[in-house]
Amino acid sequence: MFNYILKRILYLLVIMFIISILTFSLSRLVPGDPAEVILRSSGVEPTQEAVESMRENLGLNQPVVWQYIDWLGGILQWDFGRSFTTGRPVIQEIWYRFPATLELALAGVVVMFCLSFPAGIISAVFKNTYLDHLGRFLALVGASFPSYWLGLLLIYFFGVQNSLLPVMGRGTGRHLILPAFTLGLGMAAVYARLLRANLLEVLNQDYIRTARAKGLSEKAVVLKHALKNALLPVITAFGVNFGYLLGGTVIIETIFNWPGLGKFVVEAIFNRDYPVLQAYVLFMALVFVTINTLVDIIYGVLDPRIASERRN
Amino acid sequence: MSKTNILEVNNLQTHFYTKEGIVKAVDGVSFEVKAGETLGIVGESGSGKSVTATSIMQLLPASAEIVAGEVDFKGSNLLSKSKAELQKIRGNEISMIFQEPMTALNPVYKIGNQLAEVFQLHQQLNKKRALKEAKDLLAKVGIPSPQERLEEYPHQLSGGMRQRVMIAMALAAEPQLIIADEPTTALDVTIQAQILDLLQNLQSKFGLSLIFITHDLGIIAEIADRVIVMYAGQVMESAAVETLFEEAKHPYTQGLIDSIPSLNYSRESLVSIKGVIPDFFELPAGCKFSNRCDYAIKKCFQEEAKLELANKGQLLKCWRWRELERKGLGDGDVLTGS
Repeated sequence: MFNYILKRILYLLVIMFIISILTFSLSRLVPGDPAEVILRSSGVEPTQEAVESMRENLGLNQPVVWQYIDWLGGILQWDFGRSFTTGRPVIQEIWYRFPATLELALAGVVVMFCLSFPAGIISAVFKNTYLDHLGRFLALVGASFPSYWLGLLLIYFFGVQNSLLPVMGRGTGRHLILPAFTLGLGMAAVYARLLRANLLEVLNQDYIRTARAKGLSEKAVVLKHALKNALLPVITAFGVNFGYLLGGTVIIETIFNWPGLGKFVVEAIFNRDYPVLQAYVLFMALVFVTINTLVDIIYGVLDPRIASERRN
Repeated sequence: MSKTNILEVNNLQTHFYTKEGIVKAVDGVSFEVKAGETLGIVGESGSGKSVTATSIMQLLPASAEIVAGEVDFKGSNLLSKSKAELQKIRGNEISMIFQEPMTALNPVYKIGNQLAEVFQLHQQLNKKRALKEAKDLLAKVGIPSPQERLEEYPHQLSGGMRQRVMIAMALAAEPQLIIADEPTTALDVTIQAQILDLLQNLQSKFGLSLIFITHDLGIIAEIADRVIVMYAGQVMESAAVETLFEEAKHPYTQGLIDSIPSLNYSRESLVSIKGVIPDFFELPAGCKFSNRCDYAIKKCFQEEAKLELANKGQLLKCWRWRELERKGLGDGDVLTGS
């Protein structure tokens, strides 16, 4: 297991290196000159001279390869550069906003688990009954709801009509409820369907018949013998999706004015804020790869067959 | 109900509801199992032997339903019991061994956990004591270094070892009846023999009754006291094992016995029953075996015979058994329809 983890970490470093090159090149390929954007936004006429001196200031006059080496060298010393627009170190900006995004994403995941697990299990156990049809109908509706529309509906009902819950900004736990629910509902629908399908497949397996032949109650059969087997594909899907989730809270952050990373990055894109963009992509890549590694490790814990393949 | 009968199955009918229509997988099966005896159920694939077994345990798939009959276990009908009552009987008084040792154990739990579960469930032992019992039981079914096996997962064991684990699991609660559904079919011949020996030893040690389902008459000859021969969901013949091998009267049973390859025959003379078991939707109107039977007469195609008692307690479902008994079967002297 230790060797396996070590190997995964080496892979991770290689992947991160390749991503750093891609990120750097892509951000340079975006049309538009950051020097010009900065000058315009601070109200200065972008004359040839002013642009030149701004470019020199930002280090953009260097050859691209040098810029990359410079940037990479900085990263190795945990220096991701300064934002072109705010002038503060990028790493600070990200660390400042990341907790808000993480909090929202995690809360969304909690909502997702709380809704999808009971729904998926009930749907599978009571297959083709009224309960199952209702669950599947709700899942279909939930998956089809665009999140911005659901968000607006929730704001209207809970904020405007009844003022039961705060709808803007971050602060108390109550602030979290609406955005987390908006984020979690769509995912819950998808996971409920996934869990139902997996459970139904597992419930047809021979070892489930064995469990029943032992005299186990239906509850023990489903929750002990079937669920653990049905979870494997769900965990994989979740591992992939959690990365998307962190990167995909942009719309919800905008609707609920949530001071997270998503909003910040959208602004950075408009401002051609290279250091912020590069650091963000690199950061998200790290999150993705780390989560995938974690999922692989969890997989080994859940399914002993995978763990023994690794040993060999 | 006779006192010595531990299980009596009366007119059991199990139907499958499919898109094409109703399949009568078990069509009026009756038999009994005496305390301490081994009943063999034999037949080709699709004859309804496994469905009969799973019907007794009520472990049928959702598409199947027991539509009629009684399954009296120790004098009370299992079919009228509640779910909770059944759960107390399953794995405790009646247990089952399945055909597929490779898939019948849960891949994500350790052997010890899966085995201890039975003790925890039916004898209310705590986990530690249950694991201790599980270890002793693994030793009893001939598994070497049982302590280590407890910590292993099913995929780390060979097929024969897994089937031993299944047998241990079936024995755990000291049941009175074990239903073994083709327990050796998926195993190598040498392992088959070991497993059969093990089952016979354990049976005489614990005095339990056994229903042994197989398509292999060789195994039946070795292990069974009495045999029922099934075809298309019905009992065709039933007899004590010696009677069956010496005086099989039903043309189907005779065909099965003739199909056993023998060293005395040359390769060319490998005998088989002509045709295959028909699709359940294309069964003949009269006797279900009539379209494959060499002795079928007009009546056979029109009307189904009832199970009749011959001598030595032999039961037969055939219009012509008396005639065929007189003239002798299988001498090439095929009788012409009268």
